[in-house]
Amino acid sequence: MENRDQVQTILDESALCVVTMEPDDIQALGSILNNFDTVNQLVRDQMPKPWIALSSGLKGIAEQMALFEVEDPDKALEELGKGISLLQETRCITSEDSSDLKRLQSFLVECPYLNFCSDGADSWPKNLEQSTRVQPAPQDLSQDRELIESFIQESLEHLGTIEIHVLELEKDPDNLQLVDAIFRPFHTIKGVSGFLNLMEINKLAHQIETVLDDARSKKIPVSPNLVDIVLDGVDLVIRLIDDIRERINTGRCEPEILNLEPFLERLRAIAEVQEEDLSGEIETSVPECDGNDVGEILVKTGVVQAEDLQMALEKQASGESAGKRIGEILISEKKAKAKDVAQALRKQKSARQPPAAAGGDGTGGFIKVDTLKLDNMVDMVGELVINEAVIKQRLAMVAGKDRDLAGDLAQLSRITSEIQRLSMSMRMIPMKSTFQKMIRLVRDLSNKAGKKVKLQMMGEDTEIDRNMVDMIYDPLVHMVRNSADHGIEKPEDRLAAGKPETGTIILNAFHKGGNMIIEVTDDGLGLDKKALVAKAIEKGVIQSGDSMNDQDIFGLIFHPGFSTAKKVTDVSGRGVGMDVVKGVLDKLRGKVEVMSRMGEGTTILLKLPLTLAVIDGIIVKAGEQSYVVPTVSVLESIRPNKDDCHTVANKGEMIKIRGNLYPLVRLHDLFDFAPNTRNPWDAIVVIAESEGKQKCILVDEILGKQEVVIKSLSAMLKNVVGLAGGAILANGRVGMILDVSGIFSLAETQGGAGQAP
Amino acid sequence: MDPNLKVLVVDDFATMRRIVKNILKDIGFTNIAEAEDGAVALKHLQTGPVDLIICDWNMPNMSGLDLLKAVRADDKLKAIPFVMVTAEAQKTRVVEAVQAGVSNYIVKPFTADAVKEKLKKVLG
Repeated sequence: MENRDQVQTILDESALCVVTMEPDDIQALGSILNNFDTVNQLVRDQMPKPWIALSSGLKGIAEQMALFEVEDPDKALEELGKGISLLQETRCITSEDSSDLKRLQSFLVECPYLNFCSDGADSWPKNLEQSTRVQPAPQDLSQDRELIESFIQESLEHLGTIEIHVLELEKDPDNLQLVDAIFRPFHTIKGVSGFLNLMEINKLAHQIETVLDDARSKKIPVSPNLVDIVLDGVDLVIRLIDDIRERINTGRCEPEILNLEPFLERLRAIAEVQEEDLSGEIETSVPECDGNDVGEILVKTGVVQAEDLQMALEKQASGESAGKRIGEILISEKKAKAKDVAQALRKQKSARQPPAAAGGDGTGGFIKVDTLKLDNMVDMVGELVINEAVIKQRLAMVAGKDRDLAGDLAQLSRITSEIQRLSMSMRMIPMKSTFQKMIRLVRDLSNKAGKKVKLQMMGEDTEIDRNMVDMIYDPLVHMVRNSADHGIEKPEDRLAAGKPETGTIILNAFHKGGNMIIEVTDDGLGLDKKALVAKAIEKGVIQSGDSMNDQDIFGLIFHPGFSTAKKVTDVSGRGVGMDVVKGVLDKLRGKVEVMSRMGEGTTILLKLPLTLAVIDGIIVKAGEQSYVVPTVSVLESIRPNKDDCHTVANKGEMIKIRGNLYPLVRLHDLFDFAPNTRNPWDAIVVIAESEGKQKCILVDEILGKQEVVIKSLSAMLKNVVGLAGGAILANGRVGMILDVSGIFSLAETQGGAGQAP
Repeated sequence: MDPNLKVLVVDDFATMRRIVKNILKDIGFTNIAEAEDGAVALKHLQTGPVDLIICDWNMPNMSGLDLLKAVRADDKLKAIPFVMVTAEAQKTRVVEAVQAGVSNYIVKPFTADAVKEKLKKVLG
């Protein structure tokens, strides 16, 4: 009887626990509950019924104590202790043991807490309301103004997402995750509104939540009717929130009287309605109508008699039910069922909006703005920020003595940086729509190739500069194509390799360290390093792969005309693709990294700046000019030793850094100006990288690091190779932004510096 | 109660976090950190010591109950007092949390006094 020994140990432990604990010690009650669960499992069929009844009964007592349902917790704890000792004493009981059985039975009858647990389940919410819940005292809204304002804002955001989710749910009614995503914000709104004593919202959210909970637990199906009602619920909550906002702003105390009853009636009705057969969609049998009047639709579909409608219309006109919708009147008069009204409303809606306009039309608090205006604004804000920096620098001396001025300046910079942040955020849109375009692509590709591929998306809500979205689309297509076409194996190969039949491609977007990162990961073949090197040698891209590290080898795929796929399919493998990715990334001042493991898959990571309008640059001085080198292309900057500067035949000047030779680029030769220093060991070299090549750019000194707003050059200067644009620096002067790849090719053609080692 | 204890408030609704924070400040706590869901909270817990967790139930990514289970399953974290904030009017769910080892729970909506009382019990 190993089980009995275990039972004994557990019971002893519980008994000890009961003796030493306070009646409201939740954690102790938790372990007692767990103990009872274990005991009940151990003895399941081995003990006579009364013993098991007592054991489960005692668990019930512990449960009630944990829920603070018992009136006298000390007494309950005492009874719990008594019960446990009885269990201990009778643990060797057999069904023939009449005296022990009698003791158990009499305890079961006498213990005041045991009969109470049989009907406990239903009494919980009521109990909770009466004893545990403490309603906050009614209060003037202005007291919690700040909290309420943030509640309003956050709720509106939530309601926005609810709306989107509801619309998705309409298309995909079986997706219970969506129901959950709708349920949760309503639940939160309910919770917080209860706190802030906004009882109307609380009540409404609670009712909607209840219906959603039913849908979540599949008690009622997700029907178009449910979708309608939730959407209307959202509208109502928004109206209530608007009212509260107005009350805060105007100081008005009494709330707008909004009769929620008709809506609540519909909510209540939905539970019943759902049980009826919904398959008999009446829409097909409805004669076409102009669709502008719910009443008319109802009469035409035969739901309501014409007389009833007339009566309701009169009521509406006479003011008896003024402000109510005709549907609501009909429901409250019991002339029509909520379901039918909802259906009529839907019909009316679809008649009013042509289907083309129905999709994607931002409603409510959105306005559409020409992106050009936004761009101009961001531009001007950039000017503002720079101007602010200029003024600050100019006044730095004075501000050191004048505290008021220093304060004002600080305030000004706070405001400008906030404006900058705001104006940037206006141009940001979520990655979602771009990601979603890939769904179709993956589906088509995998069907065509006879593969099974699943697309997962993460971080779709990550925002990206509007101007970047379109540019990133092509690279993304190439990458996803590559993954689906070359990466993911055929199902039989996958099974043979011990992988799940269905391959996975994961799209992930997130912000990291001031960059936007987009990752495309597949669990396919991975890159074959040997094949890559062999191919590169064959194509003459490299001479040998001996000294190459992984990153260099993977980097080969970005070479134009490079493809390791043995056969060319009509979607990829013709050697165009990854070099396009690289090209776009360079243009966007981004980086691309490849991580891959043979047989396990590949991850390609795109690192993009958050916005195109601003560039993080290192300000360098060469001659009398300041230049901006984009920080992404700078690896490091050093002052070399004299011994490390060499001149190599046919390759020009080279600098040796940690054993590697880098070609030296003299800006003053390229742009033809007089430098202050000619010797690299008296000046500074900035080691920059572009398209996998590294070179040293000779400058006089480094002035600092700054975010600058890019100004495009005028048409006359547009074709100057080596310059990406201009910027106004903190000292108010203009600096040229260097285009590193342009500089490199310029250096190569001028013969000053040759190929990278 | 030691006002220097580090409290981690976990809730996906910023307003709710503020409400809880305000109450905690009223009680005298000064060292308060926030997390917007269980996953973030868990990350936070792994980076630095926390003396008390006050956590909402319903959250995306990782629910309060899952966080509780993760905390109790972690030898380094399992001793941290864990208070669940719940609006669940469902008996079984609260019992679930109790059995998972919650230190105490608070039912929404609550008052500052109610929180204070519970925290006193939890922190001893």
